[in-house]
Amino acid sequence: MRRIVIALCCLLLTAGCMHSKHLDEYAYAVDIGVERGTTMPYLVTLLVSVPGTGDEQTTAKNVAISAEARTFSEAIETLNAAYPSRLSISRASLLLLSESLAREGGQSAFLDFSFGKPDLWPNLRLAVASGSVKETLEGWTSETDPSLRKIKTSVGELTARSGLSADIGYGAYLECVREGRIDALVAYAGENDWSLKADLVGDDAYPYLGGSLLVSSSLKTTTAGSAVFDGDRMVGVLDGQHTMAVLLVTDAFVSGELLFTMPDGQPLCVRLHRARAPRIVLNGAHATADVYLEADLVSPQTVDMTSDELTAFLSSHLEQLLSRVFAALQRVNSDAMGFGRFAAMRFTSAEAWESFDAKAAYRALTVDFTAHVRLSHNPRRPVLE
Amino acid sequence: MNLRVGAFGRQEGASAVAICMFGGSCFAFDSAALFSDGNASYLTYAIALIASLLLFELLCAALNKRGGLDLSSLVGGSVVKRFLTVPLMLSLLLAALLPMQQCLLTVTQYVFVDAKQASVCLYLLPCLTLLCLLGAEPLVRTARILLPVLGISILIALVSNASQMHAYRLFPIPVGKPEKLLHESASALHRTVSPLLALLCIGDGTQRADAQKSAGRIGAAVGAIAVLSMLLGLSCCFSYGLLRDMPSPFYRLLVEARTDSPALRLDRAALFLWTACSLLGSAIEVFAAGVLLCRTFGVRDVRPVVCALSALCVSAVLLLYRDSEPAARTLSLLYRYGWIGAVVPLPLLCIGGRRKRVCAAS
Repeated sequence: MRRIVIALCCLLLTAGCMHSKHLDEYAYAVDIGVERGTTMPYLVTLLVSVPGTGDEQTTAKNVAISAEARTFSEAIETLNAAYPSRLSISRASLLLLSESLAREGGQSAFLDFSFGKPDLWPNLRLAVASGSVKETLEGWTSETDPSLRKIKTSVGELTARSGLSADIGYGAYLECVREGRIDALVAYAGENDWSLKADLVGDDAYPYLGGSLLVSSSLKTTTAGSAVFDGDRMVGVLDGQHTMAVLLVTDAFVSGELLFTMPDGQPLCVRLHRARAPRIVLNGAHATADVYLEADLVSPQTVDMTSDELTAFLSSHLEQLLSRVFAALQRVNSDAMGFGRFAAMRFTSAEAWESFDAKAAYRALTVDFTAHVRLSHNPRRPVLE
Repeated sequence: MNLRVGAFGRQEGASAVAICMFGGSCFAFDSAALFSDGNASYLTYAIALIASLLLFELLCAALNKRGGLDLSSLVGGSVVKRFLTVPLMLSLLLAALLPMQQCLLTVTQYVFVDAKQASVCLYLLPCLTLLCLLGAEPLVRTARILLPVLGISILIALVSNASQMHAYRLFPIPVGKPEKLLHESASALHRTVSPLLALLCIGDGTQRADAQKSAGRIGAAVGAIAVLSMLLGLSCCFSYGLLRDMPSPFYRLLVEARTDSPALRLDRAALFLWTACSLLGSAIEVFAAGVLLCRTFGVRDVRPVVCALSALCVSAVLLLYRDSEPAARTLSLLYRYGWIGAVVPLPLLCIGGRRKRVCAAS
């Protein structure tokens, strides 16, 4: 009798087979792009992975499909009506916004679906495309990396290894918009056209910026620098070196190379490594920010300065760089360096914090930057000696 | 009497308490209320835990004087005290159903997205009855097996998100309103005292008073470490403004891993482990309520009682699962004031127990 009961109970477990959906009935979107539409408010583009047929000669490829819509759900359902498989966005790992849409602002309301739409991975990477989203996505596609997995991984590695771009997830971006303690810095990408563009600070001869790199390769899209936001509105771009300056203060910096100009006019390339977390102290309308770095000379490997002289030179130039970048960000009302994070520490109730005008306090803020640089070898002797 | 309590050791008892505490604390809270005015969840939980441990020590001392190992020993022959145990039983049932309700919500929202809620309930909830029918000994022994695995999953969830945790998200710490802190601590009391109450109901399985006491203390300590580390990790990963709109914040901690992280696909595995632990904790609490009812009212067999109580629990979960205003309001009231049924009768039971012992001696 017990065996019959157990068998009947086990039969219940097979009920799921009646409405099963096979994997090949789904088409998985690996990337999502959003830009302004011509007829409807938004144009949503999905880069859909099309699996190979199993033949060794045939490889998987991606297909870009787009639809104009008023809401994100409407866009997905419209695309579902025009695509043979059922679309799934649960594997999407990149969200690309067009620069024109980002500059208008207000897209976070359209995109604020991360909690209401649980099948979307909340921490997919965010990037801003300087031109058309579809062309930017297609410019990244290559035969060796049809799913863009390596490109997306390399953005994270680019940030960690070189500090020349930002790496932010969609959840973190939403937090920046809703909480207002720090403004987002988002990776910037563009179709390479070899035209040099100025960034917010505007003092670099060669701004290391997506779409402006002097590079020739099979990939048409390049990623470098970052888009600066004030809330959910994009207010400018920062090139690679200036992005690194912001990362130094937000403690997102690991290592990277900076170019300085020596007193004799010669360029000096220095590799910097994070020594410890930056220390920021906020006292009313004044803040001090201390960054701690280790430095290695890259080129030239020796200079005619003592260690103390070189340390003082590097510290002074870093402090000037940080001050220039801060001034540029303050002009566009973007707290990308995140001083607002420390403002909340003064409050003992959420009510008091929510009624505090953090942006007004930021506009009146003055900051003293101090760079503590430690040289890892004698500048008068090359590393190999 | 066929109460199916069995015999188990200190480790099993402690594991049962820890798992009940984890299931109740990580799944059963009202995000909108808890994070409405800043985030002091870890503070209020710690305060509630200390209060629960004090109550537990008081009850153990009372049991020691009475010479008993379970709560029904404090009742004696008093009719009033018999009915004082009814809110305790209801409180244990509430402690069982609230995490189950949240688990089901998480599973239907994030895993079985296209499925109807009742369909998912059909598979999960009868397990509660089957688990309760097994008796205390298999349940607590299973808890002992699951506890290290649970610890590893918590560690993975915290370590994989360590790079996204920042202390600034803890602020502002809402210590400016002590009355609100007290109110939240009282709400959290239900989640911390119920596992200890469940242990005291089935504590004769440990066979010794000192084993029961140390099982409760160790279990509370382990459970507190697990829950507090999760609460702190959550608070450092998300600010309170995001947490108050988040239906299942602990599951969100699992899915915060980046797409190129090795912990990417562990979210579903961890969710099912946590759901299993929560279901086990609920089964232990329902079983404990059944044993308390049997001992208090002289019912000889616990099996029909636990069947009835688990059916009651399941029905309550299904009723509260409806997306309606009365259901939402009821749920909110239960989260806020469920502690009253657990905490208020306990000191009354203790006082009565001691006085009777003194009278008997004289």
